[in-house]
Amino acid sequence: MTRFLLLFTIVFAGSVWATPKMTVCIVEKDGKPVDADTVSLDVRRTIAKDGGEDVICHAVSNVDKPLLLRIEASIPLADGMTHVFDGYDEKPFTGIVKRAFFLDDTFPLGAAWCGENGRAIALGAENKDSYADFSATAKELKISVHAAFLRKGAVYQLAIHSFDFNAKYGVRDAFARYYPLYPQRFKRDSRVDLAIYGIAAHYGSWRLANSEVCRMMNASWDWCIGAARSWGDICGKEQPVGNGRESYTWDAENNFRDRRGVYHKHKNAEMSKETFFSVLEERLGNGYYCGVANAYYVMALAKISPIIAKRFPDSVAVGKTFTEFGFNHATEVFVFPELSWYRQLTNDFAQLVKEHDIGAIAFDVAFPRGVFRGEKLREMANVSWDEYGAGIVRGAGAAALYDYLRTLPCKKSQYRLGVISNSNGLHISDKLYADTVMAESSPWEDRAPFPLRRRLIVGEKGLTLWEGCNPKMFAPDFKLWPKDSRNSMLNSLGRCSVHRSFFAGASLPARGFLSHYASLMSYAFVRMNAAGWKAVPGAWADGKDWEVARYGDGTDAYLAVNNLAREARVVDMAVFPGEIATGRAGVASGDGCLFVPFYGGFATNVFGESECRVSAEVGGLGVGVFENIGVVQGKGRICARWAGVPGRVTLIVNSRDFKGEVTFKDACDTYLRRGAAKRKLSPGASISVVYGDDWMENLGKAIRAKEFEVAEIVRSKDSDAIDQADRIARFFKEAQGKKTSAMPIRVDSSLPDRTILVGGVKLSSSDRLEFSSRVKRFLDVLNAIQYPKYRPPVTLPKSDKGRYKLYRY
Amino acid sequence: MKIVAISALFLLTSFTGLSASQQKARLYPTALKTGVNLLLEASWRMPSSKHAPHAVATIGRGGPFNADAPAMTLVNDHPEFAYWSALVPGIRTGRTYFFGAWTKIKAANLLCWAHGISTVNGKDMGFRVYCFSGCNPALERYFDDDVKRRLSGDPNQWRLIARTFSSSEAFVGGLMSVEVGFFKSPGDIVFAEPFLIDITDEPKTLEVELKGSKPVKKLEVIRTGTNDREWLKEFPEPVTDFSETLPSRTEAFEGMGEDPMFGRALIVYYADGTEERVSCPADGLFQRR
Repeated sequence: MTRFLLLFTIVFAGSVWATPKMTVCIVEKDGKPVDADTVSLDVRRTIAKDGGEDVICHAVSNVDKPLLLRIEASIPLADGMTHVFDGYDEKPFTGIVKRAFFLDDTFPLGAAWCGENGRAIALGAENKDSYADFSATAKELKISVHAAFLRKGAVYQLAIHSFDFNAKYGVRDAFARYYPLYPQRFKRDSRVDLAIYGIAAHYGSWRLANSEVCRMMNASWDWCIGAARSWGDICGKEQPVGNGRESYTWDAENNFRDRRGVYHKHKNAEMSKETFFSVLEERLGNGYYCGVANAYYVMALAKISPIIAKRFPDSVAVGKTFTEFGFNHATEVFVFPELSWYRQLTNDFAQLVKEHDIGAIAFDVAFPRGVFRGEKLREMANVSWDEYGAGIVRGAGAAALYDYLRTLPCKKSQYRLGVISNSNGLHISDKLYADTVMAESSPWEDRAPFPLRRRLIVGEKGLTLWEGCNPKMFAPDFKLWPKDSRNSMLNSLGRCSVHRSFFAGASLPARGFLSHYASLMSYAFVRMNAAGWKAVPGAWADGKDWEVARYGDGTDAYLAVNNLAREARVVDMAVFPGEIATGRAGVASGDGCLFVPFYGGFATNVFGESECRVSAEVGGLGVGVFENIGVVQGKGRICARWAGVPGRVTLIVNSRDFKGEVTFKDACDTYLRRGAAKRKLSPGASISVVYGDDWMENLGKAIRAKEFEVAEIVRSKDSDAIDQADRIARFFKEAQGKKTSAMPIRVDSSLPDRTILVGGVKLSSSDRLEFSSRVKRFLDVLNAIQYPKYRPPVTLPKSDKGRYKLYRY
Repeated sequence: MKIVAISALFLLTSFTGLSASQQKARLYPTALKTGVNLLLEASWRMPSSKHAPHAVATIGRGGPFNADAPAMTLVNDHPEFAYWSALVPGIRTGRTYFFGAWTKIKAANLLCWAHGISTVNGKDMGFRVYCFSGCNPALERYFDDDVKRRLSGDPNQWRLIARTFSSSEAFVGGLMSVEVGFFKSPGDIVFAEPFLIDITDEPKTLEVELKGSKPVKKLEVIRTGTNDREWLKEFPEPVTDFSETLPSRTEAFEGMGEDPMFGRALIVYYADGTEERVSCPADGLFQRR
């Protein structure tokens, strides 16, 4: 027996015993075998139902000296693999491939395939690894994890997975196979408000979000309250120290308007301590302003005030850290559960959420790539190493903090705190644990297929872009251009933005991307985002210059089809219902899906012996959004489209030569199906299926009525009603023109809380979020019916007039 | 930091690449010809405090004027910052300086800035110039011809990016650091003939220069964006070589350092009916820090 050491413990799982395909071992940094007495390696294998392997490795040092080792796992490849994925790129497989996992948005999954036969190897998403190297040769895929042991008894534990997948869509099915292994990493947390996974409003700080911009762009959360006093001062209560005192300010802005409509203006940003806390309380007293959740902005993960940092010496950076440059006025720190700064933060956040009504913590300056090498490293598990020695990346500690934050209940809702992180691309460790991740770029600033890599890292969770359509970035004299040229450029930027957004499920922050086109498309985006971006598209378009993305499974599914050509064209897609139903590539199609364009127009669905197809026209540089409205059994062609008015929409279904049966889904958003679900269709026949929202239908009728006229807004006395009345008044001011007088608001103390009367319409709910939603929908419909010319800026080009019609408000 | 010496052939190819006939047309401030360049012998490096392993600099030769001019080719494969810097001694107080370089930008956001430590208050005083490439390939299919023309971006075309600043306060040691690189974007940048010139006593005019083998019938200088004409020269007999200092009413440094610069372009009308458009200075965003 060689000195090559392994201790096997093999565990049977399920009823299948498959020959182990993965080879696991522990070696020196340079690849030499490790002595049997030095490190004990326990390997537990589980065979999945599909033959894949899940391995847990538990390594323990038996010596009291530093060891820098590698835990390696490899799987054999069949001959003739033609393509490889190295965690970052899909490319032809021409020889040896090597890449470092985790760094630069590289996911810890490597794969190779030929045709539809693919094989993958991946590290566990909850290992909290720092460094690992991937290599692929014609014979094998291998992962080599950097494992450091600093003392006797030090532990490194990790999971490794290998499985086969269907490479019909390249590596996509490998992700679909992998995600369910770690649902907490890749699916939304039901304890967290769905709003946190949605569209960001502004970069709000002290200012309330612009309610009209938020309404038009369907924003649902905002970065709010800058940590203005000092970095790391979470609750605003750090005591100033002597001459180093830090004054109370609000994010260097000297004016803002509070939710009572009072305008505050000071000579500079400083204020008294009393005023500071008064405004903080007022701003965060309610977790939502017009449906936009407070995401409390914090910079405390990586850099904090030197005054604060002095109290937490074990958390301060030592040695080579790889933290990004900049912010030199702050001290670099780390958050790991073993460190005092982590404990301080957990106390601070627990206190924060008791005092204020916030929905999430939004971390900026996260710097996950920084490496901790302090003394407490000896106490930690899963210590890694790089060329400078032992260490753990900051993101692994942030990940633990993010998990802790989700245990904290929000002050006035049934939700738990969510986590938003701006961690850029240097290391993915904390992205696996955030609820929403920001990619701090405009859509065109990164090479294609941006932002798809970031999306693959976060699975179905939230992803938001940043920056926006700032034309001065391209031409400083933009404002001197003719109006048509300005409009053209902004529309072009909007087209690009929506394409990137819909392809990878990345939301566009409201303020930076506001335009008529982006506003219209945001109504589809919020629905698709709620359904969840899916790795396997389940459809593809014939011809070139198309991109297809899928959201939701089964009858919750949407297809978003990007037309990358300038001219309007008909997309002809092959659709695979089995894949749409299960989320996996290559699943045989059973019953068909009936797709109808979300924004109007016909889609032709073809149901054949072995294939289904969908075709429809998509505008030049536009997006076709198709929603699955039912389950189809039969053969032939069906054309389907929406018609109707707010509150009552009709699905018009024409059978060209289709014979069979369609089972229509029960609801589309808040619109419930009226009538039977199952309907037979014969060649040449037409049927109509009505979906209605009684509340919206009555609202639409009321607004259309001749006697509808708004002279004042009457509200109840509670704070939610103040916000919503303010919001309605703002709508009228914007819709009617700035020169008109403000719509008067009158308080009626006899009204129950959360009640508003406007033009004879009553808007009320006992739930503050439903109350806000009803006001929004009321304003949307009022805008469409009575003020159709009041639109977001940047007019739609003539070619798109009438192409994007919103039916369901 | 990775710096690899390459042959000048690559840069020469870039330098001559306006058209197959090696036509060169240039529009630039006269001071670039007449002034003393404090960056002429500069040595560029990536500071260790700003280590960016995803970016590479290749030192070579070749600029829009001559093949021996110093040049760097910068490539960044990541949407993150990456900068290289050079130290410049001999900065005098109370002078006006002009700094920048000739660049070719391919889908990158470029930032160039000069900064030094003030002897008055110890603060770092800096002066920046950005150029966000309007020819980003990601946007190529989206912009219409009118917008593309107005942005006048061309990755094969030399652009001058530059700005002025005044050294109202003395810098420690008379020293400034000039840095150039990527502002949170990937892309390719060629950075040639960097300069930092004291223009206090230099002429404030622009130069038009034409060299090559393709006959030209007309030259025009316009303000980009508005397309207002500033200067026109027509040749009854088409020419292949030409140079002229534009009249002094055309202020070469107008708007630099204080207000956003309105770009200028040199339009070259060839005898065969084709046209070329050369921007100077670059259509970028200028900012005083």
